[in-house]
Amino acid sequence: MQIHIDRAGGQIAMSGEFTFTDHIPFKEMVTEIFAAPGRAVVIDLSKLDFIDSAGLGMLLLARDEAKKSHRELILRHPIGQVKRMFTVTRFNTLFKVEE
Amino acid sequence: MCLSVDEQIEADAFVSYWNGVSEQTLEAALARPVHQCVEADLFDGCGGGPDIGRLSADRLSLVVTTRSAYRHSVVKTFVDALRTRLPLTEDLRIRIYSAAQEALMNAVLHGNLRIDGGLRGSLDGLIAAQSIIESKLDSPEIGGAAIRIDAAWTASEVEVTIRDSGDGYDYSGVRPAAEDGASGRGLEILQVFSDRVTVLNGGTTVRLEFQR
Repeated sequence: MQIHIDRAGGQIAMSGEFTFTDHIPFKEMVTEIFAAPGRAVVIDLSKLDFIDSAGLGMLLLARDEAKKSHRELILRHPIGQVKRMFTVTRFNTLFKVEE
Repeated sequence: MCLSVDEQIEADAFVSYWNGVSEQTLEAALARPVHQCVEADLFDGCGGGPDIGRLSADRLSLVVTTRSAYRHSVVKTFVDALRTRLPLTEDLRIRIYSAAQEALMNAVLHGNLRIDGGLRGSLDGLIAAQSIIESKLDSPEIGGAAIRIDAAWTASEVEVTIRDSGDGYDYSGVRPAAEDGASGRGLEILQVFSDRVTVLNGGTTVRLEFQR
């Protein structure tokens, strides 16, 4: 998985595969982005090709971190397998997902 | 089952050896006409090897160490190799890839590494788990233990089997995830993306069946 962070804009772009083995860079990203001021944090998923159950779990943990700092986590434009995983696991009911 | 030199010679062009370095070298090792690929570190090891009697044109097998299964995208590369042998619709590719990835990570984390699933309940827990994981991956006995992926197909069905070297896992005790729980979705994903899931050999083996 690759992560590009736009600190000023509160935006993150993820690409590649997001699985259990990515938990360290993901944790670092969450720590960094929520340390910066702002309201909503947007994760752009339009270049993310694959996610597994551990990746879904980590997004939920990031959402919980957002809530602690009274911020909103928005998932933007999931496609392909990622969009299908969101549907299967009813993720759209747990997050604000922008198509 | 242990590998033997005789089996290597007998299997000749149908068996290849992967150096464990990268997805690129794995892709090359899985290129046609190979029917079975074994990570070189497992040669003469006892983690499961070529079953010569079962090798046929409609099968592909991969045997890797737990270390490599954790550190490389072996399922993605394996499914890409399958696509060079049989036509897969995008729907079927996604279903096989998604379900097999879940089964593989279960085999790695819970089968061979025996990582406590509770550590996945927080980001700090995941970080704590990492030092345990790295320590176990560096162990020759645990990191070097085998994980095996087999695929077999007919005109109407694809079957993928993932086997670990652990003591087994009681899937009957697995409960569905809480709606917004951070873990516990793996079994649901196996069931949704496969047409049939069968747990065998006391939980060390998961067979996934897909209609074509």
